[in-house]
Amino acid sequence: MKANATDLPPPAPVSASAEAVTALYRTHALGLIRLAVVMLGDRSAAEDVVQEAFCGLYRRWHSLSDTGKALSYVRSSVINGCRSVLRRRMRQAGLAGEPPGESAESAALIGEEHRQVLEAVRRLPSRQREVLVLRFYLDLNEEEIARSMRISRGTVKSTTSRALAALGRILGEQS
Amino acid sequence: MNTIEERIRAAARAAADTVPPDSVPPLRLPAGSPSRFRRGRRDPRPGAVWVRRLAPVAAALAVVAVAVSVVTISRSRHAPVTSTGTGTAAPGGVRPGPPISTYVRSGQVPPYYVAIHGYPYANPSYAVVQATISGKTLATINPPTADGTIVAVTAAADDRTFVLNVQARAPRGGDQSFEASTFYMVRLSSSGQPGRLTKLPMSVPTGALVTGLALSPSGRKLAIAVEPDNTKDLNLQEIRVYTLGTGAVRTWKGDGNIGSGPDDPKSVSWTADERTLAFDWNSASSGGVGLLNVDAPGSSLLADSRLQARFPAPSPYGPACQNDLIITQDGSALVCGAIQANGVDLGRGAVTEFREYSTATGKIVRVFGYWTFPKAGVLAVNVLWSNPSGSLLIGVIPTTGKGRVGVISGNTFTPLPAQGNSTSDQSGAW
Repeated sequence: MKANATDLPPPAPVSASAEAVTALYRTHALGLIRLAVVMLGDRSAAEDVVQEAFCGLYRRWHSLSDTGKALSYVRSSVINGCRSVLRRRMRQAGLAGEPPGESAESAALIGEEHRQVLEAVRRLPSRQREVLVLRFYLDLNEEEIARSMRISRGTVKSTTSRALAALGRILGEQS
Repeated sequence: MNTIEERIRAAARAAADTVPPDSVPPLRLPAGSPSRFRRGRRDPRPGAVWVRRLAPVAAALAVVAVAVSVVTISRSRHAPVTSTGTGTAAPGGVRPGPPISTYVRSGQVPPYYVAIHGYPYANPSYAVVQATISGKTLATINPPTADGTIVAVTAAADDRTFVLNVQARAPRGGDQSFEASTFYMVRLSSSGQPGRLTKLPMSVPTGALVTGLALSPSGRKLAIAVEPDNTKDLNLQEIRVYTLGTGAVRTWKGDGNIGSGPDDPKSVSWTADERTLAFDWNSASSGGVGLLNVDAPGSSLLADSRLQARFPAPSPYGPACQNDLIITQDGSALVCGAIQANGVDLGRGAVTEFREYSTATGKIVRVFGYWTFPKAGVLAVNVLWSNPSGSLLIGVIPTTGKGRVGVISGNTFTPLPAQGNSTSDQSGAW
């Protein structure tokens, strides 16, 4: 039997934390989904990662010692989420015998030259890939990258150097 | 021709622009308030997909909560200290330990350590023998060749035998990390004076990258983690184990990275029986700590290792290992320095502790200390040395300055009497 609308439980009151998290989402979701798209090349997966990051923030809102840093927290969560997705994909690609790539939709939109660069970035080890995206997409400085990735500035520097060298070699091989 | 940086920027922007501003889906928050989730109550609505998806996170949080509870109980038993004499942030809840002399004279902590002084990349750096009890410099070990620079050191368990990684000095503006490495053994006398350097038979050529170095407890084997080919096979990682008496070498290969950067001597570590080598592993498809059985046949780094699951990354909600985990000599545990950001900005606050995970289960078995730093400054938190069982550590805690090295036992911290250069102490090998 179909329930009447009046039989449904009343909607839960919107808590202050839900309001705060939703406001943060409205302001920053676009940028974070774009960040995840750069990392993953897949819009749907990017949206899932960002949703999960904000749900995680909501669940832990009361334990945040400084809610002013919530955005940084969500950004780190998105980076970690992308890492997990890529790891799962690599496993699946290993089983299927073919490497993961850009979704057909994205590939058509961004053009061959950019697609090659992004695929090369995604072939790098996770740390190198993340350093490059944070540095050259988000334009974070070394200190900000170090904080986002919980590594030292020296590691950021050496990883960036290695990543650029590696990327140059990959792209050189492709051309 | 665009530079590679410009190509990355352009490609990233092109990918980002595939998401139009008006196409962001609405946020779907899980049912119930955050406080209800924190108390672990069930979502009354069946089929709440986000709750199911977040169940593993909740389980992980429960583990963290138990660990924090243990620490909190421990903290409540002890009066908070106001200072440990570090002259920096007061470690809240951690008691000052006994004088360093107590540890050294009882034989619990080795009397000497060798640390790298100078900045390897500014050429040349050198090694210094220091007394643990006083921090006093007992001897300086200069590079054995005029164009050399000492970039890393590792120690045997006897506290007398050390191996140095000596690299050729990079040309001005060059990357020191990729210079050729040679390895030298040095033995200390009972008074801490170094004998002559003995060149070992192995080397790593220019262009390869040394990412880990560990002398075995007996001093008979040397493990070197190497990325051998940074021109063709970018992710190839090797562990080479040399038997120093015979020059025999075994090599294991894998696709990934070991350690958190170049010349990271703590990224590989031995058990006392010298059968297991632990390595800090990171790759696109797997990560964590690998336990390699060096007595078993084979040459595959991953196939011949037992890989512990990746340990959680640092977050605002629970301390997690920041850098390398090292294996205790009895093989029972992996120990690490752990950090929790207050909020996310680690540079503005942190909670630090040291953690011990069971090698059998991967679960936390011990938590040492619990420091709250309102401003963490340099974020070093690392284990430099462990006694055979992991009950006593020498580690680095973050401070508002450069970090501080000390002995950690239970809930106590005894700073080393550094002679004004605690950054160098952080490279120390005992």
